[in-house]
Amino acid sequence: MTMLSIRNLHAEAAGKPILRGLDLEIGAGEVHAIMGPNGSGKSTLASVLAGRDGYKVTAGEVLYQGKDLLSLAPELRAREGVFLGFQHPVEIPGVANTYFLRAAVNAIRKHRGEEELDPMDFLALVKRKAKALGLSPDLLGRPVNQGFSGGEKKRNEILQMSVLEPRLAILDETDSGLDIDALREVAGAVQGLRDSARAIVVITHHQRLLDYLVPDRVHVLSGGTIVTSGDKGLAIELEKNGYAWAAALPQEGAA
Amino acid sequence: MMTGLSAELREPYAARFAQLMGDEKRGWLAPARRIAFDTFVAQGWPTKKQEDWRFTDIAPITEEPLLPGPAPSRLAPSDFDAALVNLGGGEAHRLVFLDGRLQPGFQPARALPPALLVAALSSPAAADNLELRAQLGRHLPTSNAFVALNTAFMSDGALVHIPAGFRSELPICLVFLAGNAGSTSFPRTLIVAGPGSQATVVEIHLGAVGRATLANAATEIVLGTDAQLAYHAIQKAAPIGFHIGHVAVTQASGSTLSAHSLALDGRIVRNDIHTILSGEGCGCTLDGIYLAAGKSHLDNQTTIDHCQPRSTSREDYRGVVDGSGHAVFSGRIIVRPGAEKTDAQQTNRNLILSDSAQINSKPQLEIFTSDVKCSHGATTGRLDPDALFYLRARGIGERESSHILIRAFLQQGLERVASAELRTELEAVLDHRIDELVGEGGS
Repeated sequence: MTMLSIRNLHAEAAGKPILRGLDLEIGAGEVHAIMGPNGSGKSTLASVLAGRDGYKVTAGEVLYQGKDLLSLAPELRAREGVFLGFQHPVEIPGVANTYFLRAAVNAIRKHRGEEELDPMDFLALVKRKAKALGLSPDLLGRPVNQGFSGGEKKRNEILQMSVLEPRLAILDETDSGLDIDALREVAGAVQGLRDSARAIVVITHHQRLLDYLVPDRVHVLSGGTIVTSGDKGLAIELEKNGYAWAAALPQEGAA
Repeated sequence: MMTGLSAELREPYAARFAQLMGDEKRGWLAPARRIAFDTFVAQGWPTKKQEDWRFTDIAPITEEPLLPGPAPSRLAPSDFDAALVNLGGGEAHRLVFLDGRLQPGFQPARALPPALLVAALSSPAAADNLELRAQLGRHLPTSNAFVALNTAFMSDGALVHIPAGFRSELPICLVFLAGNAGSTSFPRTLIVAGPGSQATVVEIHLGAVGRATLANAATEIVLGTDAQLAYHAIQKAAPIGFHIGHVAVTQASGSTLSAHSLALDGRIVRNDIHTILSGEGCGCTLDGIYLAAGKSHLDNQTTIDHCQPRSTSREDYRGVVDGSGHAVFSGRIIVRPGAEKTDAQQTNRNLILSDSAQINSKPQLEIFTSDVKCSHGATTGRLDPDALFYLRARGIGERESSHILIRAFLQQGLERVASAELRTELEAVLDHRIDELVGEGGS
């Protein structure tokens, strides 16, 4: 089944075109990596998919499970199962991490017509998942991301993903700012969330993450469009030859 | 600048005052009333030309005479917001006044400890207590027209005397309900905390739902040596109602005041709190939360007067302004000559939710001695769009996301509330008010 279908997507930020005709098909159960140099449009793609303000789609469409994604408010996308792992998780003073996460879980459950979770059951669930991620239980009671180290923030994103159980997860540079051990743990945790019913898009600069989270497909984004796609071998070639090499390859579908 | 009351305006006041003095059974109050009334007539109302009233136009209040009603309204305490009337819990020592009259059914549910006095100004216990009688009116400013009028017209005020060394485990709750539109209620409170005593007093001022009530309140608080008092003032009138309140505090050496103000609603609300740290080594915390929405105008005027060495004051006022709301904060800190080693910190934070909302924040530091630590800061901002998006991207609706962020902002203003029970109750009160602001609903 096709989870996400992006067709000829054009988007601009502050009047400047960034995505210029992007096409992408992702099936359920697949992990796709999107790689590319700074300014290629990777984070814009993530922002457009999650519905962040400040981006204007000028052409094209995005179908999520066959439905128009772009017409939905950000919270409705999340309730329908779309998850964005933030490149820069936001600090929210005065809001406890568990309170935030419970509000999110209950909003999603309500949307599905399910009962709200009992607070004690919820806490037990979050503690168990946090432990599996190597996230200190102290961080659960603290304000969201406030005073967290870079690695703790990224683990907190993955904790949210594991609790919210999305159908489509877009992880925007989840590996940035992680040391080698943290990278292995976070990648392992995402690997553990691979599921035949779930699609995962990993946006990254580096091939290193893909050693632990082996993708089904790798795409190179340059100048706002996918310039080449391949299997995990493409990531290794990129690491060797650089993005300039990929940008110079003849484009798929080009005459 | 005293302009005095015009002859035309004076007449209804004088007639009502003469009637009241004729009815007054408490001879000991008469001289104070007479002096206050004469002061009021001589001064007249403040105008926007006076610095303290620059941002607040009281004309909508004072164009009609502010007179006590002939009888309490036919409302009952059950007609008011139950969560606020019952704040402090069922076990608290509670007095409830409606339009200036003590409601007999709401006297303290349990017997007071023999040493503690929580009584109405009209009670025999008040007339017999010479110490309280000596304190009444001593601490309030004579130059304030509203305070003078309160002294002239007050009826069943609340008296609280916490004897030396006494620790009151249960909060003392003084509830003043204004039910009559077209007349004024004059709530009056005197709290005397004896040396080394410890207590929590919650003063609640409510206007009836949907009515243009007007309360003109005055409170005096006297802290003896090493006394510790947590004092909460909670105010909510209808969006067309009015509230004017003045709190005067005098602190002796080593005493600690933890004051917290919560101003929830009203067309024009003015809260003055003036604390004089007359002894050495005092601690004074003045915190406050305000929410001005619709056409609400909320003016908080605070003064902390450091007179002697080694006192510490902390002040955190924060508020949310929405719609065409207007909030005013004035924070005056005085450090008198000789008040060395004073340590004073003040902050005022504002969250503005609409383009037509307005905030005036005015710190005033008047420092007349060296070797002091004083700081102040004020911020005004909007809801953080990144934080809003983060919450929404996790499935939380736009209104609920706003609610969560507003609550988080305001809740930090409750951090110094020592009683966990009271803090929980105040959080619920805030939640309810924020729901009124951003709208309830799951989307």
